[in-house]
Amino acid sequence: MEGHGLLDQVGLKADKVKSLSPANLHLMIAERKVDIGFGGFTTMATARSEGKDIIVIYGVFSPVNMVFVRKDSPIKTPMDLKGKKLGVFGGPGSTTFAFLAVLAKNWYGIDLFHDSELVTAPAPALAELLGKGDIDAALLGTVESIQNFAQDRYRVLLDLSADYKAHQGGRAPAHVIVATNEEFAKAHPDIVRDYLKAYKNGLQYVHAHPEVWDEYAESIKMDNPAERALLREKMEPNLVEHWDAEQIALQNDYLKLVHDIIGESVLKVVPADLIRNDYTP
Amino acid sequence: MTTLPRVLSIVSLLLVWLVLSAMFAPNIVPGPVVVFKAMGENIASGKVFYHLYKTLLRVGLGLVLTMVLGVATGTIMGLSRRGEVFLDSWVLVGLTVPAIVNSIICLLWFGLNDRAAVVAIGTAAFPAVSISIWQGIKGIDTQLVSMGQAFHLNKSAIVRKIVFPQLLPHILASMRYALGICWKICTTVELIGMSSGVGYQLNYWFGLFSMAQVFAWTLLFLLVMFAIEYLLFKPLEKRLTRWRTGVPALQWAQ
Repeated sequence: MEGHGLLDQVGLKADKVKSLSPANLHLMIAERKVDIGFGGFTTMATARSEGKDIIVIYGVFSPVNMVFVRKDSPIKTPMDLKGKKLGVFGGPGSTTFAFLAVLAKNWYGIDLFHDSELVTAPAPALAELLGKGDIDAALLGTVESIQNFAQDRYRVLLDLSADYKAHQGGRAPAHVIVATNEEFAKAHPDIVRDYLKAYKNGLQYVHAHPEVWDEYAESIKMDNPAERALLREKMEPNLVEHWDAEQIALQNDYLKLVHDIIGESVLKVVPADLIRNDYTP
Repeated sequence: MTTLPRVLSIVSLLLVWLVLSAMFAPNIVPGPVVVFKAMGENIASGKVFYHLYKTLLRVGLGLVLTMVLGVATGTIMGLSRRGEVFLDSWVLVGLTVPAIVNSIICLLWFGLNDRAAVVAIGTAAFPAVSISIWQGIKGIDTQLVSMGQAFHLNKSAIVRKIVFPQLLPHILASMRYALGICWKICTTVELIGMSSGVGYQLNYWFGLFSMAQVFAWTLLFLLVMFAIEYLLFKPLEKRLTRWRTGVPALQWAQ
């Protein structure tokens, strides 16, 4: 958006604030250190249920993350994860793990919080631990999932979005979203609306200019051509195209699942008025 | 005599907490009732014991390593001028390097396991013990050693009956101090690279914005540390240093 002048087109100037970890980024959004930010959907819901005035104003993409096992692993389905060591890159409180835990419990009957031993580590470390046999399966981050899939080093046990769509049909919920705080949105509705306009223009730009995937790959130091090709192939279909009533209902249904299935450990209550489309251009 | 001030101290601490919780929103300073309720739920769920066990194991083993390294280097520095010169800068480096650096290095070297945590704790905490022991040895009453020699005590007896009793208060004091440091370092290691323990739980609840749980886990560990202090360290210290007479002014104050 910034690099291709999409913010300039809507007359916005933004100061970009980078964060080293999702947890810090979430805190920045919750504590209003940034006005608009990209964060984990479940975590933002948790923040609102803990009294933060966060609102979710658009979806970015549904998970590209995958669970990997070694090729010779006896683990054939998520049910086989019972009693096994499962590596989780963002920890059991993360939005992506919540997504996996919901899938696993809802469609495979396994409670990963209790039935598996969860090992938290950065995704690159998990990939190595899996190779060494220190863990039995690993839920990897977006980039690492694409890299390991392209390298064909491990077997994919579960592709989160594909599995969700296979069971539920239609779209998958966005797990990365655009969030802001209510106070800022009320005080500057035009800025929020313009930002989302720029974001939607950005989506169109991505579809019309496939070369941006190469630019993105370069920015994250992804040099392997197979991985670069896969980056677009895996990510583009998971981008949220429409923040409409259907997508919002899907997001709400998903939150109810998180609450009913995981409950206290992640989401005590489904917060009211979290998801908004009043700023959607 | 000491019970009343101690009770008053705890009550006043709770009152300060109550006042602060009334002044701030629960997501900033949760009240004691909410925190004790969260702690009760954690205990009832049973998960507390596993995480507490893991942290105490790491702290315990880390403390052993800290004391071994600290007493060894402190003794060498106290007994030998060359040793003092040689190890002086090591201890200084150990004191200066932030504990998080030890944690990161150990996690990268040994992997995400208990060994990394124990080594990180031991290497980060031992300089404080070294200095205490080093100063303790320098403060040993050499006249008593001369007296022992005059009474034809052999070297072993001099160490056991004259040197060690004088050094013991320094060892005990540094051990209590090191325990606090070990707990802090252990929390850091667990926070950045472990999948169990109190530090891991703090990180987990931090990610979920639950201040009540952050307070609950901190309080739980504080209670455990108090129990170790009052049920283990203080009786042990009292027993091992029963030969010492108190400072008159302090006896009067009691």
